[in-house]
Amino acid sequence: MIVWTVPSLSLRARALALTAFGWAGLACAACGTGSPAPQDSESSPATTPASTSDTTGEGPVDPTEASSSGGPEALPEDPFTLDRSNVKLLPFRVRFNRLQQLAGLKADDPAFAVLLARRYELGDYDYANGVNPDLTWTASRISVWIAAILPVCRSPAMRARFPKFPADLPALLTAAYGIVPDADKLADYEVLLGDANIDETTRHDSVCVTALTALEFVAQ
Amino acid sequence: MTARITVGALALTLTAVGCYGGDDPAQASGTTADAADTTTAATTAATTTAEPDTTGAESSTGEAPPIEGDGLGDLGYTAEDARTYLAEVAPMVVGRLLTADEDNLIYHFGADAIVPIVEAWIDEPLFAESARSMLQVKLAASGKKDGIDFELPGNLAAHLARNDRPYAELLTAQYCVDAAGNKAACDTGAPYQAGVLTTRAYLIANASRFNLRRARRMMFIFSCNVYPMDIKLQPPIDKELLIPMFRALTKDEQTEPGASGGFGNGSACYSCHSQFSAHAQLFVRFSQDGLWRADATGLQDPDNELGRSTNGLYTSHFISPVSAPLEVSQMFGVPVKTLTDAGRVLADDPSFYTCAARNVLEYSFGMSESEATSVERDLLAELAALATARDLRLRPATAGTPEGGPTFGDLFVVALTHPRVLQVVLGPPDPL
Repeated sequence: MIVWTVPSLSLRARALALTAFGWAGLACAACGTGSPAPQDSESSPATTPASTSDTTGEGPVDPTEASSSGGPEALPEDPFTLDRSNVKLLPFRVRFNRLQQLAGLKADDPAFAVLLARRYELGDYDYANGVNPDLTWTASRISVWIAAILPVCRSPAMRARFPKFPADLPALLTAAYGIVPDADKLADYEVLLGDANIDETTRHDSVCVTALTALEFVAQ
Repeated sequence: MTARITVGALALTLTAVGCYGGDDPAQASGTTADAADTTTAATTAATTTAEPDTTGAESSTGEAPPIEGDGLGDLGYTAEDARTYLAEVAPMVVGRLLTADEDNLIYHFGADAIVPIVEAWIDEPLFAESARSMLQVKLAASGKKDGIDFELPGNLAAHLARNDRPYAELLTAQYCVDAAGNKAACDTGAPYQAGVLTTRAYLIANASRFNLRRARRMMFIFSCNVYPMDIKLQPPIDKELLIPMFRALTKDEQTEPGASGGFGNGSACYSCHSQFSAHAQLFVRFSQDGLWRADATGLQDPDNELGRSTNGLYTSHFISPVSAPLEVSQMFGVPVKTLTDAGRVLADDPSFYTCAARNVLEYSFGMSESEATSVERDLLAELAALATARDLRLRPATAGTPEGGPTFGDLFVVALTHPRVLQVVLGPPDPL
């Protein structure tokens, strides 16, 4: 069960999308604490005068005053919007690049054999043969992704770089997401690792797969 | 923000990790997403805006031209904002996370680090691959089949990005590029070239009756225009020059039985086909398998469906048997002899770089084509101007000549360092 206490609309939407996928969703939602969510443009101070709160007791502030008083100039309305309501995967080739960099392996390493064999199930494209890109994150795609990255997690390179969890968990998450994990995120894994009666190998596989199935790793 | 998981999740993950092995990739062909909705690159000269080379970069009025990212650090975005923004776009542009060096730059220089970091990205090998992917998806062309190399358009895009060549060469290159990145002959057999337009990949991927799709995608991808477009941009062809079915403006005017039922998008054919005709004619000698045929007639095959000529070719819009087989036409009112000329006219039009800027934003933020159509025109015009100014500043010897023009790198730098683009991702900066 996941308890989301996320004020961000986009992450709430992500959570909803993921919970629809059952167990597979749990695996990735476990690490769904992404980088700071972009501010919803509809509630931005620049576009919503009413949101300029009265913090000085001088009444509401006209946003245009900011520029005249030496602060940052108010930018015009957003010139386009980004749809944050649905999870959209990074292109397969980008995900593959990230895996190569994380593991320090070349593209032709045997650890990627399953990934490459099933690349079109994972959203890659081959227009000549009628395969269009598909960046939706579905339960079946999550399953295939897990199967495909398991050999990567089990590769000697990954075991050498991140030999033991939880000791190497911060290093893995930092390398995978580019963000030093906060205490909450590490606590999630501590719960997971602390309660589970599993051997070291299984623990390594599980933590690695869970981390690399998280939205921080696979999604835009 | 906290996400909690239970041990149950772990148990399920454990179950999952042993479930699948590698299957036959042939299984994979079931994916059916429309490419148009799934949008889902250079040995650059020293490209720093910190010490811009202003040689020849001043306008005739003496005003300094705009510089990308100018004053970005003064807007009020924090280092964390800058990091969040760059972390979002880095995977799409260079296929990776931020490096420790980039983190360090951001830590020390905050939002002022955005421009030099993005400028450095365009020198990375994976930037060329991003340009490849961007164009492959736009053109729906990749892979190989039946001896046809559908990678040629992507190879050209990667080559242009890698070698800091003008983006316009996508339409004007007189060569193709092989898998190794070397210039190579193209594959249509035509006695001329026009960048990606004269590759079998483009021609096959967009083959359709009357050559409508080839014309429509050319205009959409490189000019961001759809039919009917402004007649000041594309003057209509005279009605009397067209075959009768395309002259109709109302249902009553439709004389072609095959079209009277609402062939295509309705009965008001002339409004679109008066413009389609000029552009589709450029493809009249390219068969459905992308080969150039000198013996094309452009005439309707009486034994085939509407829009199909003989020998796998497509019917011309023109009624005259003299005009129908000729590639002579016009682009935006400019007479052209072949696609080569048309590509140059298209690339010279102001819509070309505004459209290129839109394509860059679409790719970088994973927008669909329909989402990208909502990008504000003023922003695109500004990005095009910034890219042109950057080209002039960095490559004054070729800027403004047929050999010059903004590159993939220029377009990415100006688009991804524009304050209003940052605002879309980050929201407005907090007041200082």
